Amino acid sequence: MKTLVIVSHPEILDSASQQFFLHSVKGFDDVTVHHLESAYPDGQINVAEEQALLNSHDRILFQFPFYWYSSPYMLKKWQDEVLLEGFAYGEGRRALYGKEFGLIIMIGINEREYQAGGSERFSINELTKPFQAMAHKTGMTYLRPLAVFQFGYMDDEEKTETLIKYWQLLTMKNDHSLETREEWLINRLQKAMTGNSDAELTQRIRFAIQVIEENRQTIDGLKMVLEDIRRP
Amino acid sequence: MEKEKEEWILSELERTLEKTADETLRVLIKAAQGIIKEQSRRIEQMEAEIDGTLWSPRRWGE
Repeated sequence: MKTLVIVSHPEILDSASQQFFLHSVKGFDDVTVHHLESAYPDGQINVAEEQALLNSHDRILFQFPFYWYSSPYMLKKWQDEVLLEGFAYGEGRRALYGKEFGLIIMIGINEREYQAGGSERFSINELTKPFQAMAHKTGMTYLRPLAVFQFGYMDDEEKTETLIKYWQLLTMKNDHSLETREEWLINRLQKAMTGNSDAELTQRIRFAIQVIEENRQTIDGLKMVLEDIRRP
Repeated sequence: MEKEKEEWILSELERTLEKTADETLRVLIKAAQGIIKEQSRRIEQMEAEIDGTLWSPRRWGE
């Protein structure tokens, strides 16, 4: 699976959260990061190139700071100019049909405010309806979004947990079962260890993978026993 | 998984964390600790359910 992350942020170098997430995926060979404001400093979008990029990826993600309950201007302009009738929707070819689509949104306000009774009143799911409608119209599967609230207030543990969710949204198949997360983690550990010459570290990681695999066998075995004894 | 084995592998991973500077690997090691804990919990719950089901009064007549 190849993932395209379309990032829109007018001042990306000043954004600690954007730098944190984007820096973390530099070695990911199955991920393409495409920052619109850097690619088009004059604002003139190359529609054919953008459509070719979309064609060559299976999962499309929009990553942006939440500005007035939507994306920055450049991403809206990109939608208007790239997702044309005859390419993304309408009669004939629907180039995005069957792909997956998701959102990664950086939000400066506390999560609790995005609900009835909170200062922002509406949930993220309600406020992102236009993106959900876009995915629907173009025939893409809408993924669970990743909303990152108040990155600046997160401690290291929260940042790590969020980073794992970010990597999963970028590279894990759309299924959050324990088994899928195990497979994903083993795969990522193996990739991260490729070329590592530290024998002790390699040994420990190999052992952790072995434990995860043995636990999976135990869980599957117990599942069969349970199915058996539940049978009337 | 036996409790001792779980504790042992978790502490091994913790020691690995202390020695690893590679940020990507550090995050993945923390994820591995989380997954192993979650698997152990799942195994315990399933074993408890098996025990409970086998000792159910509904089965006493069998």
